[in-house]
Amino acid sequence: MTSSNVIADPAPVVDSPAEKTTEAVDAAASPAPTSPFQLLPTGEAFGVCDLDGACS
Amino acid sequence: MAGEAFGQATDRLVVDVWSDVMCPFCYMGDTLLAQALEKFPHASGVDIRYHSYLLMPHLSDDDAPVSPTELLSAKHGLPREQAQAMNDQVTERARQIGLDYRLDQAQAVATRTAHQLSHFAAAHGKQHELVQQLFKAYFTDGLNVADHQVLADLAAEVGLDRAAALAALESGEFADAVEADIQQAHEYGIQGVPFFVFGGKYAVSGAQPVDAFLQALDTSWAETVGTPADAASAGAGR
Repeated sequence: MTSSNVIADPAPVVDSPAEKTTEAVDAAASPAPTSPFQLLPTGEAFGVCDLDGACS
Repeated sequence: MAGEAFGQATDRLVVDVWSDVMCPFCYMGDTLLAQALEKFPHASGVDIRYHSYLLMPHLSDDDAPVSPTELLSAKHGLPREQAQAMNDQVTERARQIGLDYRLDQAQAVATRTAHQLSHFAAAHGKQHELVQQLFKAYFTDGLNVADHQVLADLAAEVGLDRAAALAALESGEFADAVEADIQQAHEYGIQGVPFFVFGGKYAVSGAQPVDAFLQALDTSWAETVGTPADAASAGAGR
């Protein structure tokens, strides 16, 4: 058993992948064009760490 | 299966979080999300699941611990003073939300084994407590979070069976679960952490202020679960 199925039974991520709109996407924080998630607009983030280990 | 499916249960909001033990903004993000949940009226209906991500995948279990400042300096070709200044800035951000970062004592190591322990804890309903212990062990206590004995101690501190935790690490029982999480992060295009997914639909990248997390909780709760108050008012209007 893993963290992914401990609490709730698996469910589809989204019935239909959400379309990203210019309003919804924080371009600076956009992870990748293939993301199935709708990025919520946010203000100034505390920070994020990238795969190369750089944090900003 | 680890990482295969995320999203909401029928009556609960699930928040999936990708993070790494050595990620300074992951600890901050977890803390800020917890602070947001303290203000969220439906917090008891929210489940948080932690998924594995490796910021330093090149580190192996055989590597000796290294100072994060030295690691940052070497990896990006920065003067040590510049790397130190960057870490000082991160430490100050952490201090502002009540966290005590002591990066001068921290030991950067491979975190695959620590992630295995997180999955072990999830299987026993103690994942959040264990994740918090892992962050504190690395950022504040200067512990080697790749050491099995250290990890077993952390498991015991959150009420898990120390011997069972140690056995799980020795056997690699959750190694595949860690790799599945990492693979799924790649498939989802996640390139940085922390990365939060609310109700399997809405995502927030990076540690955010409390208000931003509250907004994400409000939006995703309304769409995935709804509120009794909403239902009551809807019924009253009929």
